[in-house]
Amino acid sequence: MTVIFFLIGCSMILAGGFLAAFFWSVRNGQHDDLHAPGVRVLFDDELTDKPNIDNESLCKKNNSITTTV
Amino acid sequence: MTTVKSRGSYIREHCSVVKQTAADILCAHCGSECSTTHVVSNELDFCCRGCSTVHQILKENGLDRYYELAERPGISLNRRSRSDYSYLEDPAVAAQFIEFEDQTQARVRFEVPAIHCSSCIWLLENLNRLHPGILLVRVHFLEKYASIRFDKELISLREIAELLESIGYEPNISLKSGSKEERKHADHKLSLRIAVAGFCFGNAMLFSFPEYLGMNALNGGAFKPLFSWLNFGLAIPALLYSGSEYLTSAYRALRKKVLHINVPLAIGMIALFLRSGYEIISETGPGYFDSLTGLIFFLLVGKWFQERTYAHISFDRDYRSYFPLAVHVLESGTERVKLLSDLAVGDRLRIRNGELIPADGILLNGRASIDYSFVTGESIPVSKELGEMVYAGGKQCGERIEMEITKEVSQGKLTRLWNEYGIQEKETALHSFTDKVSKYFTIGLLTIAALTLIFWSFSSVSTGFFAFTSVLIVACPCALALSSPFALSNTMRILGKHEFYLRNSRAVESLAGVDRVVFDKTGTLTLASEFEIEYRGDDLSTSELQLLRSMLAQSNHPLSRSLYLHLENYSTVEIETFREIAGLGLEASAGELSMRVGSGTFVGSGTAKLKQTHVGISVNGVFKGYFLLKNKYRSGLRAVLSRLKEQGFRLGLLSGDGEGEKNRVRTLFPEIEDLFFGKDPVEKLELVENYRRQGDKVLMLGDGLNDAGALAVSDVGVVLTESVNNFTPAAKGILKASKLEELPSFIRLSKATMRVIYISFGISIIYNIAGLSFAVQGMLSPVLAAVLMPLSSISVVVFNTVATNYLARREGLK
Repeated sequence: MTVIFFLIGCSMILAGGFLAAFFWSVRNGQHDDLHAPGVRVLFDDELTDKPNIDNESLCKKNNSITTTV
Repeated sequence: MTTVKSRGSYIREHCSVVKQTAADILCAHCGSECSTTHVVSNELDFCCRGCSTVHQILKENGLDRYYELAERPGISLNRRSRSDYSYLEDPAVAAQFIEFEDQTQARVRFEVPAIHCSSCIWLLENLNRLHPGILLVRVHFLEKYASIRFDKELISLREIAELLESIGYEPNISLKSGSKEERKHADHKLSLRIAVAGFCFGNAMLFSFPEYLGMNALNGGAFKPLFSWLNFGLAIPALLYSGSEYLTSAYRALRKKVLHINVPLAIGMIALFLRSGYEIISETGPGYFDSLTGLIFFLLVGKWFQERTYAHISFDRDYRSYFPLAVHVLESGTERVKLLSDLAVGDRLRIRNGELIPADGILLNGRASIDYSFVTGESIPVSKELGEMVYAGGKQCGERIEMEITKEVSQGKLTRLWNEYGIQEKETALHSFTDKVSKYFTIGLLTIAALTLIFWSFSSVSTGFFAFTSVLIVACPCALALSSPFALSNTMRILGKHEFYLRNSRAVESLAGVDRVVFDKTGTLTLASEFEIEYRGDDLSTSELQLLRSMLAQSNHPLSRSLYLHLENYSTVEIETFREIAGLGLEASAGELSMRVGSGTFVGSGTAKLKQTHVGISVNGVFKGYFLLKNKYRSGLRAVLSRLKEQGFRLGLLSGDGEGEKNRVRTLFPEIEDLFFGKDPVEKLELVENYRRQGDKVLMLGDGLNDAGALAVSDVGVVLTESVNNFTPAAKGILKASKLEELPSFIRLSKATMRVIYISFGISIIYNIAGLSFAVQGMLSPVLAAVLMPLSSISVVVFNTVATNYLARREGLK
């Protein structure tokens, strides 16, 4: 059962590590805005691959507009 | 360079048809109803040209995903004049907004109150597609600001502000947002304290487990001292870091000879700590460190719950957040930009259409037509002659005027109200129910503890101390301290769902104590832009009415708009000549008919002396008659007033208007007992103070800056507004105008919430008596404490939350 001494040491270091991580994240401002980052993640996908498709379909659909401008 | 064209060119190119009326058609951009200025472009409906232009700009730049992320997310541009951002070119002004700068790049932070949905985030963060000078935009959704990094070579600060405005996201640039106040990190500190307390609490419970299960003999008891000392180690940061505020606040209270709730809490914490420390050092017991850490953790969670407020709504805007940052000053014939804070008496200002008058002064040049709607709630502009005084807070509508400042900005008629009274956040904490109770509680607790000590000391001093500390530990009013925060903030959250936003949860308690309700009239009880219209004079022929309506359609004046809507049964005709003379009226002709519409002097009649708002009509130079416009009262007002009356409130009305309306109000709303007319802002304030001196608790409902003083001195000042983002004077609460009908329910809910708190107080007393009966006998074991303390806290929290939710449902507020 003396292994418990060792395990307690491990658990305290582990838990302390999480506490330190929490401190870091709060001071780093990660909890400031809980809405925008979640939404932003979804935007980035669109940005990398969708704009081209969007523009193409837009050109086809609204040919008259794009030519007049 | 830029891909954004001016609005004008877009309108010419794309808005093919401008229809005149449409019912129940929603704008494809902003979702508001298309009424007077319905525009059809690209087979889509828009409520105004502004919206259609923005739609076009976004479409051309491949940003139409904006309309996919949320339904009709746009911000209406209807009835908005463009702001002049030229002052942003002044380096001193710009420096107030620039957060960071190097040779080529800079970062600026703009407050953008219009941010409201995912589409807004998406569009603003893709602003670089509208202008290559924008490098990166990050939106902070909760605090509603955008942090923009840009290339100084390609775009200036002024152009960024104009770009934002052109797509409807007008930045809020004012002295207040400009001054670099250090952001408060109190919020961070609290979450860190909770984290530490939670960490210590969790681990202390784990190490106390053998004790709970009676495994003392486990492995020959070798673990026991280790676990005890580990607990000791965990309790130190919990008490000194997480719980430090309770200790210091109790110390300060004792020095001021006040006994508020933190005093018995601190006594309990210290008793727990010393007693447990003694037990461990003397190896007489395991101590109560699990209870101590748990207590601190629960208290902090309660505090966190209580401190949550509406981050995006500002309750204490003063005139600085309303006035512009800089104005145009004429100095020896040339115009230059001057910061508002540098203005001095004698400066000559130039005020353009839509700009705000920042200080009291004398009109020197131009025809002033000043809209004081922010001040009085009255939307009809007031005309001023040369040499007359113009007061700060009004907006010039019409041509450019010049004025000379006679009083410093901070000494103006309005701004002085703020400087002298301000919003006095009276420390209500000491008057709250919890603190009243805690005074007697502390005295009672100390008496019982002392008696226990004396009683046991006759037989054994050590048992005496044991029982003494047990009493202090078990009577620690954790449940009492938790009940108000949870009940009040849950009620605040429910009210917020119904668009009644309170500054903090303590305001719920103030609201519950109210026994007198005082209303402002214009803008609060009446609608700002709708009127009851009545015609007096010779009848007008159909062709005359058609011309009248056609000319009204050309004007943006609020009276023209109301009359235009009133005459909706008449079609419009082609106008040959049209002229709008600011401050006087409109002139137009069609065929044989020429018509003048406007003030009494303009149409050549004697109605100039008429005190009520009116619009005169003359046809071919002959005066015909006039339209009388009376303020329209909000619908459902009568029901609200009679419900309030039934609930036993004394109702009063304070108005800055003349006595003209008095009889009408008296017959329309007999519920209102006290009617005061013709009161200026200071008199309003004094009347409210008078009520308070009589011992009444006053709920003041107002809307304009002229109510600011009265709102500040009342027990609960509530501002009525059409939109939460609008400018509102400082107050304890902001109520959306459309929710006025629910006000009686709101007050009833706050009263019911106080009853919930009284009941929880009873529950926590029962727990205390149960615990004390063990403690005075010297029989309090660590396990019992560890069970009793969290149990009482959690049951009180659950009771408060469930009860307030239930009561809200009963009031129909869920």
